[in-house]
Amino acid sequence: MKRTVSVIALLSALLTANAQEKVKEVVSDDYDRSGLTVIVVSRGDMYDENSLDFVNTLVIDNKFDANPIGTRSLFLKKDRTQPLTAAEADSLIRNSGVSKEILGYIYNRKEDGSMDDGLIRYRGHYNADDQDVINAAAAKVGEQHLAWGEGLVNSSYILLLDFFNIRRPVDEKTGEVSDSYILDANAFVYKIDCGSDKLNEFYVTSWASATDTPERKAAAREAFDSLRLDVVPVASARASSTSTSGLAGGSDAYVDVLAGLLSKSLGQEEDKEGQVKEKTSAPVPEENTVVKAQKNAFADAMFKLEKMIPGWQVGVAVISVKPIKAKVGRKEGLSNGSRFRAYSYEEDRDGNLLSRKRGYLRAAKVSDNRQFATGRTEPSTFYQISGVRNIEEGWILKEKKDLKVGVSANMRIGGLSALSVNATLDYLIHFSKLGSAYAIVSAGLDPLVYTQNQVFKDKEDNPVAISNFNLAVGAGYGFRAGRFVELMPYVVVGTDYLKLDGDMVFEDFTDEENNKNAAFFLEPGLRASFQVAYPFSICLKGGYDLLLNDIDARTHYGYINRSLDPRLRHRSGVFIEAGFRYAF
Amino acid sequence: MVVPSDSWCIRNGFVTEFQNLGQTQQIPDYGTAFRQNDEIRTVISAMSEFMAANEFPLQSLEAELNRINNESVEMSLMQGKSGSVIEESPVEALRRTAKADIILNLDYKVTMVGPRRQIEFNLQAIDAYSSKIISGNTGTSSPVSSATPMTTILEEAVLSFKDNFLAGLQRHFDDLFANGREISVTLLRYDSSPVDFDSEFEFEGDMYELAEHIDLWFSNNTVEGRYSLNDKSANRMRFSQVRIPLYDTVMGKERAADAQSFGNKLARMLRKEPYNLVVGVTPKGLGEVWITIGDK
Amino acid sequence: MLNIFRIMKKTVAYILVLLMAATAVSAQNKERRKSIKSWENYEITTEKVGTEGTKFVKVWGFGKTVDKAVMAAKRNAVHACLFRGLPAGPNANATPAICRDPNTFRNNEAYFEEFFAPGGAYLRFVNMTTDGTPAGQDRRKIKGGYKCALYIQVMYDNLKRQMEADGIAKKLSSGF
Repeated sequence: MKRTVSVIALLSALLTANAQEKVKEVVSDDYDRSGLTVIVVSRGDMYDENSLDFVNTLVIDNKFDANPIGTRSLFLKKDRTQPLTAAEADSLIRNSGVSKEILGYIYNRKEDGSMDDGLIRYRGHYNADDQDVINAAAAKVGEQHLAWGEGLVNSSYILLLDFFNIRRPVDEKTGEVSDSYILDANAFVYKIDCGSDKLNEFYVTSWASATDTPERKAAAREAFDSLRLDVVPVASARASSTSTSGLAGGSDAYVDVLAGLLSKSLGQEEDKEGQVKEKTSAPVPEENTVVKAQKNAFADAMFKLEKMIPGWQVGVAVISVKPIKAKVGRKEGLSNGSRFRAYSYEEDRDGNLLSRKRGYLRAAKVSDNRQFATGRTEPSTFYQISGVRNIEEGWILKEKKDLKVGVSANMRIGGLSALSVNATLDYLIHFSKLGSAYAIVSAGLDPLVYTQNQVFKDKEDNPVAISNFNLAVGAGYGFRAGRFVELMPYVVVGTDYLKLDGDMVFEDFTDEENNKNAAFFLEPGLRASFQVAYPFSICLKGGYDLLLNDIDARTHYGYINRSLDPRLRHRSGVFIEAGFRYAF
Repeated sequence: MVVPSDSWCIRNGFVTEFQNLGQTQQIPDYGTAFRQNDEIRTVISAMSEFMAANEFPLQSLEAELNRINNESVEMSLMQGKSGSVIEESPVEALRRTAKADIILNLDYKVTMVGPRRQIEFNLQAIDAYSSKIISGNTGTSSPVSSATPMTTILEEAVLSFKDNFLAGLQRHFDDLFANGREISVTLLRYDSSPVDFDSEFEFEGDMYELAEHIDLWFSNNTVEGRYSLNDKSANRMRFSQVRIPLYDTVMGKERAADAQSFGNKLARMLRKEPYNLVVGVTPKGLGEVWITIGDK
Repeated sequence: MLNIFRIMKKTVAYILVLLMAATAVSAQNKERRKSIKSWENYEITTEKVGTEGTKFVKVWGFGKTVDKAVMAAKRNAVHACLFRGLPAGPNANATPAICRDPNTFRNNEAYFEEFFAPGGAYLRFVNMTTDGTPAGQDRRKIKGGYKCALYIQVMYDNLKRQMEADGIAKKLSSGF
């Protein structure tokens, strides 16, 4: 009894400590646009050109103000197999003068040293939200104040991208060199250190306007040349990608992944049949392949960085509920399915401000707000996907990017096989009031088949194990029934493999018959997910597996299948499945 | 009446120079300032607007200047009949003729820091009688882009200090009603005068110095007897912080009192028995009066 | 005998009802008075120089619900203009209180109770400029309710004229 009490006490103490920890950090409720300059590292090798192509064709997300400066790459002689160290990146950036170049870009600095504030006023105006506009109307110099974007200078970021370890994968068996590239990238993010003091110094010493005298301009030019503008390291991220994939490369990359998997699963066999060579994508010029891999790596790095840098996380207030609306949109890089987390604020007894984490939401209808705010910005619509409490008006939404991927592991009874273990990956394609559209990839395995090792024997009379797996792709639509339950009718098509260990074949079969070691199947079904604690949920699935091939045909697959214990034979049938799902 | 400060006039080049005792002196040239500077007109308009809303219409310095010019009554030198000289500066003359109770001394400076424009302003309300600062307002406007019209920034500055300024005025008026207007009075004796301030006159059977008679008169005719005698000799008496009632009855009619009317009242007393002096009253601005005995 | 009981019962019931009503009314009055008097504790800052005749402030209010906190904030804004004055902001000078006499409230308690009553005349002098409802850090749950900050435009000049017209504040030109 005593022990139980003390265990409970310890547990509760731990829990409270944990709870206190959670509320201590106060999330900021304002969001201002950030400027971004992307620079690549040149290593003095053949990939420098690709890197330049990459940075020159790069399109930066709407949520950033692009600061494209003349310097696109910084040179450091180092073998491409080795990554740049953080210290090397630091000194490269610090010695480059790019921070001042950015300041020059922002203030439209011309050769004679004169500058203007046109861009900064434009950006200030563009950054203003409805509250700023309404406040401006109440103030005497409102509109002019509003247009003043000086504060944004200090949120100008530099992203130094170093691509390394660029290589083409080689097939271990065939020794064939792939068309695609694999590379790693390190992204180092710096912020120019231009707070109000520095800005004042810059104004006082280095400013000259177009109407100033040539002497003043010359003096300003000289002062600007000797101005020291430091950078502050903010974050760094490692990314790796191939030219064909990139998990965070947005939905395009996903479609690539799925298409890749699909073509792999179908293609393996079709290749052997000699039909599908032309189905795989035509070989593309080498540079583009490298650049594609670089772009995927950049997207991956940005995904990671946006999770790390608070200033890059969009924050916006809920203006109404049922449905939940917030004045945010494409200007802030919002897209369908973007995930946000709600926060509410409270004060403790001592008057300390605390922020409390609330549920997650996703954007459904995204408004195009890429214009100056007028006070009547069209809001985007969100739906809550987690959290016990309903999200309330006035709470803050903070962007929490995710992969939009759910992975589930399940145990299945019935269907193709008597018993199987399944893993499913679903990717959110579209999110709406009704529910979510998913692309699905699933893989399964019949463990009982592996017990059938006495069915076939090799020449030495040794037992030959049978292996099985199935792979399917498809789509589903998850209807939300409340916040915690999702009902998803889906359909996938796939192939089910039955093979003998060591790629053994039947000698009395023709090659063609031996090559047919898989059967197609179609699986319509219904998945019910019950959220336990976001992002964790329990899944129940039921459906029907329809084997499309004639299982009595004289094929490798058919023969193995027929040889199995009758109870274990793969066939069409109803299944039920249970498991859990984790969302990333 | 809003008057641009001397430093504003000098900074903006609205000055005229003249030689005084071999030295070059600069005096503000308000006329040119009003003709050439739109900003000062904006500020004055903005201030006139809120003052009118508070039932205190501002006197226009510009109009006053025109009037003075037209009438050609401006006199910078005044001579006593015996050739003694009492000098009144052009500003003092202006204050006297315009009869503005309060002078609003306005100064502002536009500063450009990079593309940022800001104005620093300083507005002092000065009691024309006592030359004391009633209300001082300084401040800096919001930093705005140089693309912002000057008029907007100036209007903002005016709105920013408006209520504080009015509160300062209110305090001053409360003080006026409670304690009277503050002036200073200087009494001088010309050589031609047969009596000086030490001469004795009879009062209720006793002999007292003229200065004591005058002191007693001040004590009876100021609000709650508030004044101070700073300087006293046989030839000169100087009273400061003399609190006189706001209104005065002259020839049976009530009218606003100023230093001159107060001086006249004293002069009437000195002209009578037993003093029978020849007394001259010369106003210097609104808040100061010189009373001369022995000559006019 | 039975009759007496009946009458007594009735009387007691009447008394009870009356007592209850009286306590309710007095509680209501007490509440209102309390709400008017518990004004010593609110924060107000001058945001910027407002347009002609207005003051642009950010003011906090407390209430059991967000709506009540919003109403309190509006009242606080007017209260500050009348009795406390507004502090200077980074780019705006301070504003003095309209009623400079510290005893104004006490001397005109009935007037101000009506002025600040729910839906009272004070509402004519405030214009909320918050976009929607208070959000983010301007909306804080605290023990016993909410604390909300609002951006408010107070029609300061109109308020001042009203006070002058009602004889609460002195006109600048009075006495001349």
